[in-house]
Amino acid sequence: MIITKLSLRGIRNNLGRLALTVLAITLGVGFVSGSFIISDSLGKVFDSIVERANQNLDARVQPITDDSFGQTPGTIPESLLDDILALDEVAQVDGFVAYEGANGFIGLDVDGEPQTPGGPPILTFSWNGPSEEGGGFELVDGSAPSGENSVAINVEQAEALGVGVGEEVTFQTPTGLKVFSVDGIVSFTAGGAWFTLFDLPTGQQQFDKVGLLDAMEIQAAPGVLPSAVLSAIEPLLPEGVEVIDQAQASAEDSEDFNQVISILGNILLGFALVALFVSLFIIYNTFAILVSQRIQQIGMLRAIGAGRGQIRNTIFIEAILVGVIGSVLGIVCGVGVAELIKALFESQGGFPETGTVISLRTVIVALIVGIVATLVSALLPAFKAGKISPVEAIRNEGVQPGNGRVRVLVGALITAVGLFAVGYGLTGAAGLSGTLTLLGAGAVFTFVGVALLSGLFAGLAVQALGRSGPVGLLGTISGVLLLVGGVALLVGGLVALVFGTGITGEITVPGQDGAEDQVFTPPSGAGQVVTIIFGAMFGALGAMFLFSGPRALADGFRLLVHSFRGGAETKMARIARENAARSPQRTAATATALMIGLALVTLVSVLGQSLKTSLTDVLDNSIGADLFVSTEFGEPLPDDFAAALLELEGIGAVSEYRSIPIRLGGPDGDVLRADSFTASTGESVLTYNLSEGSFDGLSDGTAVVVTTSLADDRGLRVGQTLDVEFEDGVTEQLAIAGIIANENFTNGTMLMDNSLLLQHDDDAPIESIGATISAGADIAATTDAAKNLGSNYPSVQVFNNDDLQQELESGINGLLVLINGLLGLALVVAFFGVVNTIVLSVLERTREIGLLRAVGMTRGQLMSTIRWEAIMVSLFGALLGIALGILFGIAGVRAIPDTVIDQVAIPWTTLAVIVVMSGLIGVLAAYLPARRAAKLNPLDAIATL
Amino acid sequence: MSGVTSTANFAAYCRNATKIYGKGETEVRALYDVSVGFETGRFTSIMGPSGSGKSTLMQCMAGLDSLTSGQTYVGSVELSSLKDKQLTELRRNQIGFIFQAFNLIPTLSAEENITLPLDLAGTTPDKEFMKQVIDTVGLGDRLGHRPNELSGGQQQRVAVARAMASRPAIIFGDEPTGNVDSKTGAEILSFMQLAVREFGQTIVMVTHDPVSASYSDRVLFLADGEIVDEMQNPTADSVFDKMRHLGD
Ligand SMILES: Nc1ncnc2c1ncn2[C@@H]1O[C@H](COP(=O)(O)OP(=O)(O)O)[C@@H](O)[C@H]1O
Ligand SMILES: [Mg+2]
Repeated sequence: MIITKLSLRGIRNNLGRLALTVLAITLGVGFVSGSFIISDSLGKVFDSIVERANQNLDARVQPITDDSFGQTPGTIPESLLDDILALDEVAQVDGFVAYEGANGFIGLDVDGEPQTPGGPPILTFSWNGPSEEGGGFELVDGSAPSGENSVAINVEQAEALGVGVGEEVTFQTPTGLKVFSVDGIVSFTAGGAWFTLFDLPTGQQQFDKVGLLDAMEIQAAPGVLPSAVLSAIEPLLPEGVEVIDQAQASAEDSEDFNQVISILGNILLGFALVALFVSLFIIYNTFAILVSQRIQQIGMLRAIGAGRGQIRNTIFIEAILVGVIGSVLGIVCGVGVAELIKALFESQGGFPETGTVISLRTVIVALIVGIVATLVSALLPAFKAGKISPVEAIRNEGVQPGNGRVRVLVGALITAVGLFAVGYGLTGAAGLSGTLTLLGAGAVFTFVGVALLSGLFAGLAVQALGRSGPVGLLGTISGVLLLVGGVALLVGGLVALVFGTGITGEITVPGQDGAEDQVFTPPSGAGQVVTIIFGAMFGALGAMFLFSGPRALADGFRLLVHSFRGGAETKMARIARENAARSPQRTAATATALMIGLALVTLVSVLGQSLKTSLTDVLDNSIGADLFVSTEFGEPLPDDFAAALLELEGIGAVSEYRSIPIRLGGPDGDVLRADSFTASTGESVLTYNLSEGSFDGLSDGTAVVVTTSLADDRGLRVGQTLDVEFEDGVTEQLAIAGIIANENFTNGTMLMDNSLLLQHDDDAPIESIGATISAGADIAATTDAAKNLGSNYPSVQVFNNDDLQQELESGINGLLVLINGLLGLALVVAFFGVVNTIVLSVLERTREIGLLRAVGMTRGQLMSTIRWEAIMVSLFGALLGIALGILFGIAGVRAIPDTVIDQVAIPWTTLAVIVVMSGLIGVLAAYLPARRAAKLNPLDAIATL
Repeated sequence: MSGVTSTANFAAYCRNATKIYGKGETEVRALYDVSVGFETGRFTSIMGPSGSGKSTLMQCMAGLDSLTSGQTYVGSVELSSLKDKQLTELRRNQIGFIFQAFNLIPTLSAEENITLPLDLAGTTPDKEFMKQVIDTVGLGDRLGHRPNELSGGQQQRVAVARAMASRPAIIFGDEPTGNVDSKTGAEILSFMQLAVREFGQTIVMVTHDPVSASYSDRVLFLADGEIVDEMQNPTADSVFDKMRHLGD
């Protein structure tokens, strides 16, 4: 009772001190619940699609899924439809075909530009409804597609293509461009996916499924139970075809989506846990500081009869309450985080449109995670508080009960375990998932261990870092950046405010490189409110930057000049240094929170850079090709392109690349992927580096070359024969002609000639084409000619080596932006951690600050000391982070197969950016505490006990 | 052994109490072979120069710190054999402590501070006794106020009442008037005297001030960790006189 009261009052009294801790929990929990919200919202979207699509169906007839090659659709003879319709139990049967290609039919707008919804697919299938109302679609304009030139598309697609009912659109189809008339426009909310719909005969013809159906949807006659329908249909089915009820149909339809969603959810959750892990250190720090500030009170309570447990409980109850408040806010904040993550994905490709689903599970998990995290972080401080001996507190020795040696020992032990786990993981002895687990757990252990250990050298490190030069430089750079950023933000904020309040009319942004001007009209309603809020936020941030920037700049510059002249360090820098070194454990915990975020950013950058360098190496050394052809959205290349290319002047060799599943070792073997190329010329286009054998026999379709991995795995040698079963069920005996050493260009396990592959699967898509330019030919002219040829086909893209390199790098960069964006939240949490520590240290030193002010320190000088302290702590965190990040990065490169990354490259620019960022973090983190300290009245401050 | 013949009427006493801080070079002998008892219902002052071991003696006898050798008793319980849990219970039920400052929890009202030890123990206060004590503190309508809204004298009176709340066998005060002016000091000391006279409370307090010492029934003089003298029914003058002599 009294303990709860003490805790409650303690919280009420320390509300300000706990605010940032609550924020840390809120952000961490927000990320966790945001991940759940995204998964659930996506799940809901797909479930509702499935539910709507299957709402009128009592049974579905479909091919039995072949678990190795995947479902083989198009195997139901259309004649079965009439047989089923003839049954008394059945009221209606609708046949259905779908296009199997990855991207669907892509329409071209009036300028001939292909239009896609971004991330989500264009679902292309036959209109499977009874004339007007098929598959849950709602016809908003026109009529259902009917006839071989008729198509229905969804509203969004019609808008993107700029067409209405009755107008014509050109689509990319497997057999070339084809013009259709848009007869219907449908609406269907499906997470941003688009729809291109034909009537059944047109679909069958377009999808190469004449006389076949992918599925049949059956409605029972009135009063007939679905189970009766099922048993009536069963005897009619040919081999390889099954009938299922509505529940199973929906379950099967959801399965694939749910798998993808759960993978995405888990990835997001991983990042969320990083943010949460960072907040643990901040919560720990806060409670450790609260305990040390209350040491006398705790001593007094102990003296008048409070037990250890009671003291511990006051801290625990505070932690629980703080955890509950933070978690509840976190759940609310999760909605915003979910929107942010969606926006991030949207910017790097696309993301389905979803609503916001907050499930009970989200709330419960978020609460548990938040409270447990807070309790765990408060554990150490609470036990420390329990151990405070009454006499020590009364004597007010001010020292925290030290367990330095134990801490260092435990820290060293945990670090060692962490590094061992990483090292053992690198040997690969634990398998892929084991390796990942070991690396992850190893990283966590190393972080915690270093956090414990770093208290040991935080003091020394800060003392060393604090030596004017580097910190001065950092301050100067940060100052300049803040100045520039501040002006930009302020201007941007003001523009948004003016715009949001509707004072101005339209804003026209001139288009770049001949693009059209963009015209923005003032927002209304909610948009207006959002614009005003953002405007105000940007403005406030800008003002904050402008307040800190010039001071940091002037300060930093002075320090820099000072150190250049070889003068002794300034008083301010010295006081700051001593302050930061005074409680090394606190400095260490703060720096560690920052370290984790920055170490991961460094790790990712090292991996990215290494990947880029490795790819560049591959491009330079094993690619003979000068030109590469692929499509914008990964759809198949036109069949005639290679031939057209070869006719151009200056083109030397051309090779087409395809890839299909095969079964190795005959009908009972494993399903693997096999690649094919143009064997006669292929080696001059991409260098496979055979370690043994030759390409002899590939062109005749009697031999293959296998990868070293497959050869090692199965103990294969040149000269042996393999039984390879193709998708058409035919098994071929193929000789092993050679072994591929360079696996960079193989998706699968073996490589064969195109002719062999086409013999068994004549519509296997061409994934890419490579071509060389003949020696002596005009490289520029030939490249231009090839690119021109490509532009005749809507989505065909022709790259030369430089283009390809850029393309690959921008792909990697996009991924880096995504990952760093997700790590950004952990950095935000860490930033607040630095603010938190500085705020609390300033509060703790109120009296001392009063003294300094009383003996003549100016406000500006006082703010300098606080700013320097923050910069030193951040810099320490950044350097630790970079060191660990590089270490993990090297480990990561070694763990990734050499075919992907075979060398370590350090991204120096990124590292420099990280260091500068730590300066910015320091300057900004000091903003509030420094202003607050400067406002203190010296006399009041001295009177504070 | 300064007058320890029968231990029966002592609220607390110690035998051959020795306390040594540090080791080797830095060794400090804060208490050396001290044996002393405090009779129930009496008000004792402890005086002596700074560093003579007064606080150490009080803290060891109150179970806040442990002796290097010797025994201390509260009632008939020997403290060195007790575990932390039992010591905590002893402090809660048998001992009151008044510090020079930081006596009160700033977030609790005066009244809540007074009943704090009982609340910690989870026992219901003896209503009549509490009312009597609270009445004697004389805070009136300020009982519900936070400590920072009370004067220094009022705060220390609340601290004394708090120490009395659990009706402990003995109350120790380490310079309870050390932080206030003489008028406020007199207010606190009168209240302590009242506690001894009206409620039969045993109180031991450390003080530097002869006038303060004159409120008590007995004064012990400590120097270099040993009891060097004692005086019954002191007056300010007699104490002052004795202190001058001790200086010789
Ligand atoms: N924790 C401690 N560690 C070392 N020496 C101490 C400690 N506490 C007290 N002392 C020393 O013990 C002696 C007695 O101290 P104390 O009991 O506080 O004296 P008083 O209260 O009479 O001023 C002093 O010399 C003091 O420096
Ligand atoms: Mg003392």
